[in-house]
Amino acid sequence: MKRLRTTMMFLPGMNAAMLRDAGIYGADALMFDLEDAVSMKEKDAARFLVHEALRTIDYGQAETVVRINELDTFGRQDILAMVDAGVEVIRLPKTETAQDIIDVDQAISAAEDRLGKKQGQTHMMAAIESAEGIFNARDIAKASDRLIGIALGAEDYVTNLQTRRYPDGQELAFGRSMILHAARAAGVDAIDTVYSDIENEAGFREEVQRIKALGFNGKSVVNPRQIPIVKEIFAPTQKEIYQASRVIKGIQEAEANNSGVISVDGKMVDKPIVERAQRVMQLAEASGLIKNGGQN
Amino acid sequence: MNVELKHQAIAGTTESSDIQIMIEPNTNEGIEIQLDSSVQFQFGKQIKLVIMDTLEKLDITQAYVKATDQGALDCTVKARTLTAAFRAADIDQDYDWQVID
Amino acid sequence: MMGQIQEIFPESFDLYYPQWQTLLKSLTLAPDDPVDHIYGLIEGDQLIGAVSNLGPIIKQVAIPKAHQGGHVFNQLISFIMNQLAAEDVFHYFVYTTPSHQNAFEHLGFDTIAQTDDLVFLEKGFHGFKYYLEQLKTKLRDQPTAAIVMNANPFTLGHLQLIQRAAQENPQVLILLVSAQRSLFTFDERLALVTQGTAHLDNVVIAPTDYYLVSNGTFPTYFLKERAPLQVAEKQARLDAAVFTQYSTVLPITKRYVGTEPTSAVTEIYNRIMAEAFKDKFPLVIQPRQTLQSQVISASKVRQAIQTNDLALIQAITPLTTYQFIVAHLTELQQRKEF
Repeated sequence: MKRLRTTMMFLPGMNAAMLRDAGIYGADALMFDLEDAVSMKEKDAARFLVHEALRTIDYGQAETVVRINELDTFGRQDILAMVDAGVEVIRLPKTETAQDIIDVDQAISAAEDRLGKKQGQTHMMAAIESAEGIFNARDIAKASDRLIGIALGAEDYVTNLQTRRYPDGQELAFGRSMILHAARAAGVDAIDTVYSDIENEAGFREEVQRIKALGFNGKSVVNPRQIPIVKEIFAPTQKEIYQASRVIKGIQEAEANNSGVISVDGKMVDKPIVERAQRVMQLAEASGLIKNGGQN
Repeated sequence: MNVELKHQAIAGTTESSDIQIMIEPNTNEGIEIQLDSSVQFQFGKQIKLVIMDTLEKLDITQAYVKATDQGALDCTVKARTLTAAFRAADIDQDYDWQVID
Repeated sequence: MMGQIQEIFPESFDLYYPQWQTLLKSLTLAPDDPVDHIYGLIEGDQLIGAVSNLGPIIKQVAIPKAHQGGHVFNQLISFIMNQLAAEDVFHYFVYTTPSHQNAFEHLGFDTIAQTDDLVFLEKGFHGFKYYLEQLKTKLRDQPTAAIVMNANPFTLGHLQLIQRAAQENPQVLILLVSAQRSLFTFDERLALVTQGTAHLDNVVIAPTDYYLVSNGTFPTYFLKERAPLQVAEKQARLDAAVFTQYSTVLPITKRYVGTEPTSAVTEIYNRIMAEAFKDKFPLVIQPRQTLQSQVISASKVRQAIQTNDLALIQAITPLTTYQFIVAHLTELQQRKEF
């Protein structure tokens, strides 16, 4: 089953306490940062710390993601260390072109080979943080089989656009739409950027509602306090759960009858509807609204 | 992997759940560890063991270590020890990850 | 989130410099103390803590009441140690108020000496204990007179004090101030004292390193007449406490000092020492030698260098000092004195 990425929590790679506790807040994905949150002098220290944390700390169901540095700085060393540690996803920052992804893909393949890991076990995410990257979003999203999602990195993006972030998010509207369309065209997830003013809960709620409406799969969070808010907003309604549960029943019946055709109330249900129903049930379970996929 | 300590180095922080490791070459044979810990009574032995093990993996047999622990997990102790040792050896790339593991 | 640490520049464009000044004053710290770098922890737009360094000395630890007690302190001290490590400094000193003593000891710092007003701590390999052990190996186990001097440069006044101590005691330990805040460098001062006392076979010369009369314990010593006397008194008391530690490890039985009627700081220093050593060992005060009713002092020599008064220099310094000055006169005149 497809993994949920409703909440992706950012963790500075240098902070031992946050790395220790990261698993307890119920984030779907944990993004360990070796890039912007780590000063030049501490790149090595953060790399070792995240490496050891990934190898030994039990993060439960959470997907582990590491944001590496660019390939021409510390990126290649980051990749080697993180592939060794068995990270699930490597996130490339500041992706501008499909070639950036291909280069990282090759570096990961080389690392998997060298370390005797299974080819292709390491997934990738691309963060797009510039106008150039936004225009290439479609090619980027399709550049590697390893890609599981693309994300908007808004802080650098608005700087590149020569603006700043505003409460209504108008400056990000085009970029977000491009990311979302590119993700859907390529069949990968679209993850929205961080909201760093953790004191402003109302503003955060508004932004999460906005990106959910656009179709994003999830939101990056910088503080555990933001996690329940995202979950609450992304939680399906009772009606959505009811409708989805009927589709799931239809699937089960079709399986029991060895039939390739799924139907609900005599009407045939096609693939997008099935996928949506599965996603709704997953979200409902993640939000604690149902248990065991609704089959109790 | 042969890691030769060339000068003093420091790694880690004195923040909660972390450990600060200072290392320097020792002219005498052996590894000497001086540990200040907020939880030394319970865990001092374990911390020293992790530091020793980590240095051994790097074939370091002569070193002074001064460690200030603030309740670090073993994996943090190991990570900070590795960082300090490689810094002291002026090695900043091409680590042998299989040995480190 | 935990805020960002950034350097604060004493410039008008720095957004946080006024906040930093206000914070220091509220904690009765002096914002105009000399420092190399100032770092502030910024949360939101607020400065919630700051720390500075002067070389390896961590100072001006300033944390508002609301943020005292751990987290901000640890983050700042940890940060500055890592900053210094990047400059290859691995031995840290702290000169602070007793209110911070526990917090520093919790971070692995060892107390060198303390008074009611000030504490002097260090962290690093081969600290004060090691320094004293090393010093002990240089000395014979005999009653020893100690003299602390800057010798900037070595004069006949210094020589006379040493000669007297060498006559009255089996052994003399000259502790030469290591701090590089003088016209003559440490190496030059050491060479001149060594040459000037070569005829005495019971004299041992050793550096004070960071411990006595250092930038850490006694910054006002180097300011002399410019120093606020109340501050100088507190610092002198701390310095005397450091010296007392020497006497617990080394066979020191007396301390010799010269008088300097022209320097208020030196007078305070001598008075404070007499108090501090009272029950432990005698402080022997030697009046300064005079030449035509003028006190012989190193500051006179430095003035004479500026005025090309070689005759005066010849009259009040040993031959080796005089020859060195003649050979380096222009260079010495061009050096900046602190």
